Order: sequence, then structure tokens, then C-alpha cells
Amino acid sequence: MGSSADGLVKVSRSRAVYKQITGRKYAYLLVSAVALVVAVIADVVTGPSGLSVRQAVATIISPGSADTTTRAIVWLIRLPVAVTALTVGASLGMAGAEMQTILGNPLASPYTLGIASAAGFGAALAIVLGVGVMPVAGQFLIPLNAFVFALLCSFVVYLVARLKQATTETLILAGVALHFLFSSLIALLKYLATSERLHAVVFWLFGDLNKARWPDIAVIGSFLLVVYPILARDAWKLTALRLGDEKAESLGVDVERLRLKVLLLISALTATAICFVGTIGFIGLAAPHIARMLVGEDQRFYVPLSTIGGALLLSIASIASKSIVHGVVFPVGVITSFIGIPFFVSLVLRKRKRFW
Amino acid sequence: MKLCIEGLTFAYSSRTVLEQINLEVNSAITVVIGPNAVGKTTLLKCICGMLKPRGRILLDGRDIGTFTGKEAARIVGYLPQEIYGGTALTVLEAVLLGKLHSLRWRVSDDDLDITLEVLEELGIANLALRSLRELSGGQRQLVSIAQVLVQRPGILLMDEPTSNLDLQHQLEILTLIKRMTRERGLITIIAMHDLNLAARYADNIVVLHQGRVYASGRPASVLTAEVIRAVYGVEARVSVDGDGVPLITPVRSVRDTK
Repeated sequence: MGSSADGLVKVSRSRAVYKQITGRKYAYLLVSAVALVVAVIADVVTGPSGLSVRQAVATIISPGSADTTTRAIVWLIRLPVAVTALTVGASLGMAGAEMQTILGNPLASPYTLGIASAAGFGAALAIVLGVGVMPVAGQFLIPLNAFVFALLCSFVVYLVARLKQATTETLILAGVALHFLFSSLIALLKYLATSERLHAVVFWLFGDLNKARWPDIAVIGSFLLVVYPILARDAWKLTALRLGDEKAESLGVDVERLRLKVLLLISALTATAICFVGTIGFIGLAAPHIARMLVGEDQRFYVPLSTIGGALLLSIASIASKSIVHGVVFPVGVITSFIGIPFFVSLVLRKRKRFW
Repeated sequence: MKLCIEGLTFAYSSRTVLEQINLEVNSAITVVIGPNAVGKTTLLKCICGMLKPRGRILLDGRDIGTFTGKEAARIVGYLPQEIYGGTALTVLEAVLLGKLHSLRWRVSDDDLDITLEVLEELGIANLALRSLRELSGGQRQLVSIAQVLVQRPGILLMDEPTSNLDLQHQLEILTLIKRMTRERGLITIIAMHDLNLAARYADNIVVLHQGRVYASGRPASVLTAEVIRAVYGVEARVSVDGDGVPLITPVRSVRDTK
């Protein structure tokens, strides 16, 4: 009797301590999810032709109830952009979070590791020379090329990461080198291009949410939905990875295999996201940092929050791109870079103190 | 429990690190000493299954090589020399990770109970909600030990558990390890550099020299001036302190002529 009562007390006590930790994290998830819904609606409402929140929501929920013009604005112009921001931002947030986890590096992101410029090179190659790496690409020639080069680049980064003693600095330097390599190749292609195609390349490189159509969005979204459950199954192992390779291994984690598996998944995820919209920087860097500051590195909270955070950041950037100058839509990639650069610099300056 | 190591040989590509190691280790504290790069860490990694050596390692007659990764993780607790301090996890979460093999998406009451129990045992339950990054070196070491203890392992392998600690923490940690070893009948193997600490806390000492076991046995019989000269190349005076523990006073390197 005494012992069972004792046991009961202990159960509730350890559970209570645990809930103190997780309760706060659930709250952050909830708040960010609500903020995301608000941001997406705001994104739909924002634009040159005025649209009320009520109109927008009504048209989204039942398209039939709206007049033809409103329906066209919402479903053909605003909503594709808003949902692209949502899915691409989420993909970049999720990929960035896992990239920082498996490379053990706070500066790892699709952008800093050269993956974005590799995708840009692939796209430029297709635009300028019409050269594809896949034989039957058709209308998907540009995104497919971008996809393949993005994947190629992340494998080079992985090989560098696997070299013994590859430190944070080595990795970032390798990323910078790859970035410059692909940038100069892009410059070369621009030089060779006719002015018409040059314009197309420049436009692609900006990173623009207007490029994606519904089928593209469906591809990005469904890939996201496929990848997350696979990552979630390894949530604890990935958390354990942050205790160091040796510790994780001694706990029974096959570190090499886990790294390779996750890298494959997130490379494909990143490549899928950016191949349709072009280069969008810093979302994949900033979202994981913010998530880590708020909920720590328990992957059950860290990855979802980074995913929602990425979507939220890109939605906000999308709204900003439409509101800075009335009637003008800036490419969203330009906006994220402007927001991102000061963030990146502050990370470098703070280094390991607070964020990592 | 008894751990038998028979003819253990290990090489990193072409460089042989350990050669024909034969050892019998009981439920007690065994301290492995020897100069840098002699293979202390390698030996620990072989025992916990992270490296695959030639020869056999038997735990109560069963070859450790036949354990699955999960089984090994449950039986052998390994404390690496380097401990990450920069991870954004609370102490409770970090220690919970020691139960990795039983963790599901929803954390079970059992796992939480054991975690809090171990934290209380080590006197750091008050740190449960603190982030790893806010801890001192001594506290961090206690957390790593807790992480190993929640596995409820039978074998405890520790690589330099006191290397970054001040004098008081060194003694406290080793006293704690000694107590755990006694209470739970653990086979504890510690790689260590400090000969005087080894002399005080070890039940047995194993001296590695050039990839082989040079000497093993009770501290008083192993830690002699001859052994220290042969293995470390150091002239030392060995006396016995008031507790009957050997006390080593290094005098000079044999390479210094005067």
C-alpha cells in the first residue's frame, strides 16, 4: 500500500517536471501556427486590387460564392503565391533544421552551402543552352536541371563533411567555394546568352513566388508530407546526434547511415522547393535558429517549429514584397536576402554564445 | 559479472594499436593507464562495440560481438572523453536520451521516473529544467554520468571522466563512481592519466604499453618506480601514504640527462 502510493507520487512528479518543459513548447507551436494562418490570409489579401479579409476567406472556402473577378484574383493570382510561400518556406525551414543537425553546424543552410547557386546554375544551363541532364524533360527542363545540380552540390558538401576533422570552418569554406564556382559558371552563361535569355536567367535567379503554378505547388507540398513522417520516426536518434557522434553511437545509433539517409531526404526537399521558384536565401538559416532558441533541440518540437517558422518568414517576406512600393511586386528572394544578411552577420559575430 | 578479453587485436587501417590483449575484469573499478596514444580509448571502444576488433570479448561467457546494437546499448554505458556542451537541451531531456532504445514519440512514465530517480541520486534534480549550455564543467560531467546510469548498464566505460574538472570535483565524481560500482555490482573500466587518482580509486590497474598489457593487478603491486620508468619514461618516487595508497612523485623524464 505504502509503496504503491509512493510510486504514484513519483510518477506524477516526474511527469510534472516533464510537462513544465514540454508545455511551453506546445504553446510556441500553437502560437506560431496561428500566426502562420494569419500571415497566409494577409498574403492573399495584400495586392494592388483591394480585397477584404472577409471576401478572401469566403472565396477560399467556397469559390462558387464569389464573383468571377474575385475568384480569378484569389485562385489564380493570390492563393498560388501564398501557398507557394507556405510550402517553399516550410520545406526550407525543415531542410535547414535537419541540415544543421546532421552537419552539427549552425551556419549550414541551402544558401550558405552553395546548394542554391548550384540550382541556379542548373536552371541557367537549361535556359541559355537548352541543355538538360535528363533526356525527356519537356516543360520541366528548367526545374529538373536545377534539382539535379542542387542534389549534386549537397553531395559534394557531404563528402567534405565526412572528411576527418572537417570543422565548421572547413564546411562553410567548402560551401563558399562551391557558391563561387557556380556563380562564376552562371556569369559565364550570362555572358554567352542572348539578351532575351539573359533576362530569363536573371529573373529566375531572383527567386520569385509567382513562378509556381498549382501542379508545381502540389509537387512541393506532397513531397513535404512524405518526408516529414520519415524524419519524425528518427526524431530521438537525430536529437541524440547532437550529443556527439561517439555518444550517439554508444547509444546504438548507426550515425553514418542516419546522416546519409537524412541528407538524401533534405537535399531532395531543398532541391524540390527551390527548383520551381528560384533562389530564396536565409529562410533555411534563420528558421532553425529561431526554433532552437524557443524550443531547444528536441526534434519533436524543433523540426515542426522550424518548418512553421520557415513558412511564416516567407509569407511575411511575400507580404513585404507586395507592400513596399504600391503596385510593384519585388522578387521575394531580394526581400529575404535583405532581411537575412544582418541576421547572418549577427550569427557570425555571436558565434557559439547564445544561438548554438 | 565477469568480462573476459581474449586475444584482442585492433588496427586502424595499417597501424596496429592493440595487440593480443588478454584481460579478466570483475565487478569493480578497473583503471586503464598508459601514455598518450597507447590505445586506452580504442580498448574502451572495442568493449562497447563501436569498433570491431579481432579476438573475443566475453560477458559472462557470451561474445559481445553477438549482441545487437540495441542490446549492447542497454548493457554497456559509454562516457566519451569529449562532451558536447553547446546543445540546446534541458538536463532532463539530455538524460532521457540515455534511454534512447525505449523512447517513443510519447515519452513513457517509466522512462521519466528512471530519469528523475537518477538525477536525484546524483543530487542534480534541481538542474532538471536548466539548459546544458548554462552548466559548469562539473555539472555537465554529472549529467553525462546520469545519461549513462539511466541505461542501467552492467558495464560502465569512462574515458577520462575527470580530465576537465577541478580537484574537488575530481574526487567527488570518482567517489560517486565508486559508490555506484559497489551498489550496483558494475564492471567499471576507466581510462585515466592521473596516476595518483588511479591509485586511490582503482580496485585494479591495467597498464598498457606499446599496444600490450604491460602489467595488471592491485594498485600497490602495479604502480612501482620500475613500471613507471619503463612505460612512461619517467623517474618517479613511489611512497605509501597514510591510507596505504601508493603515492607517485614524478621527478624527471629519463630523456633529461641531469
